[in-house]
Amino acid sequence: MIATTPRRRAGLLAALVFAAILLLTGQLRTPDHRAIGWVGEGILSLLTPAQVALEGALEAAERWWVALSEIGQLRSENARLRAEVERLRRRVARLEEAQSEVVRLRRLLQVRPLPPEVPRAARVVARDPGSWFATVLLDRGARDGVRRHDAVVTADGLVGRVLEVYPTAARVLLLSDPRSAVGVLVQRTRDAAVVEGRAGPVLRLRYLPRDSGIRPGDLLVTSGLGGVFPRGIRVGTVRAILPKAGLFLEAEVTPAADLDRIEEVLILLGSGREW
Amino acid sequence: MRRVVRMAWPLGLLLAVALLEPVLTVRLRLVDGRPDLVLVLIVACALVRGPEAGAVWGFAGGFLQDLLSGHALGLEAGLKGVLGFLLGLASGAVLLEGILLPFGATVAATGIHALLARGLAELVGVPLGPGSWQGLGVAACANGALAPLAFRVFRFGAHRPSVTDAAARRG
Repeated sequence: MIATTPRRRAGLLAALVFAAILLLTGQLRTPDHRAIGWVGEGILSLLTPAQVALEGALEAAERWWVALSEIGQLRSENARLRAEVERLRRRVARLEEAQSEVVRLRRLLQVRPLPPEVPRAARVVARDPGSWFATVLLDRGARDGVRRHDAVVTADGLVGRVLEVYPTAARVLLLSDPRSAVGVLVQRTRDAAVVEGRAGPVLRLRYLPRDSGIRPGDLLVTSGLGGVFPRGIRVGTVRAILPKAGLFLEAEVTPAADLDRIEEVLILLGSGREW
Repeated sequence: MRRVVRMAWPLGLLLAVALLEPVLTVRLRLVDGRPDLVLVLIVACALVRGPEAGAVWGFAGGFLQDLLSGHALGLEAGLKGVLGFLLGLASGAVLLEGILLPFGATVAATGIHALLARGLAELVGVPLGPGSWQGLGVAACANGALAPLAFRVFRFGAHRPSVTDAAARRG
């Protein structure tokens, strides 16, 4: 098609390899090893709505199939959910009352309030198909107020942070991505450390003091020290302590949120800061 | 016009598959590994159309994956470009009939792709997860299972007689 002689073939291969290495080395100094530039952002701004629409079509087909196959269960489930909504409404009212009490007491004690993070619900529409990195695409973007570095959580705990923002979608760097690092506190011992991703179901706790009394089962929460994640979000639990080597202790961590099965998340708008 | 369409339809197919792949991956919960639909297409394209097509469409498909998946740009593009070229060199020597050879070629390509990825990431300093043999095995089998369909698509596209071919044969 393009080249026919062996020499031109070799030239084509060399040009492609050179282009790939040029692209890769151009991004090495960026914090997330990724810089797509305005051309890439423009292309993605065109492609992501198509991807969101594809997901919507698949979701509708799936919902139609589920509705068809489970119509018998839906009535009883509907009644159960109505009761649940009623119970949750009462609970929300109680919590709102408690929150206003906290505001009053905080004012009384002159404590500086935490930054106002606004949660925004989003749906996962696409996932990185490879197994070496871990990112997902959400159906909320700059038009919904999402910004780079905003924290992303589920009811179970921290999921990651926003890596790239497009007009109608945002890409999230999951905790399990090798580029991810989160400052944490061991809730029981108050030791500070860092949780890093390993592109698998288990995370790695690093830079933990050697004299830490950490145990399997200990809960890890965000320390809030890096300025990216708000303080006190559940990150995971210690699964196993690794044999001592070097200046610090290391441990394996099971993420609090099931990162392989996330479907809906909350983006904490305004939680991340650009450094 | 016909020539342009013949050259450009793999790009449309790659774009559609690259867009669909991450959306399907949300729903696929295989043990540790996921099929790489773009790789399957590139193996088929290279073995049916030769090294130039394999390299160009491999680079284009990999670049789309890089862009849509949050990777460092150029990682999959470089890998798939080189892989497409190397597989394309065997295009005349491999029999593409049946199911077994497309399956075997795609399983082997998945393994080579994983090895090249590790090498390239080490070379340029991109952090890469450790991966697992189990995940690689699952991905290779899933890719291999999809291969006969991809080969059929590319062979159909490559051998479809044009109007001028038919006229030449007639007279």
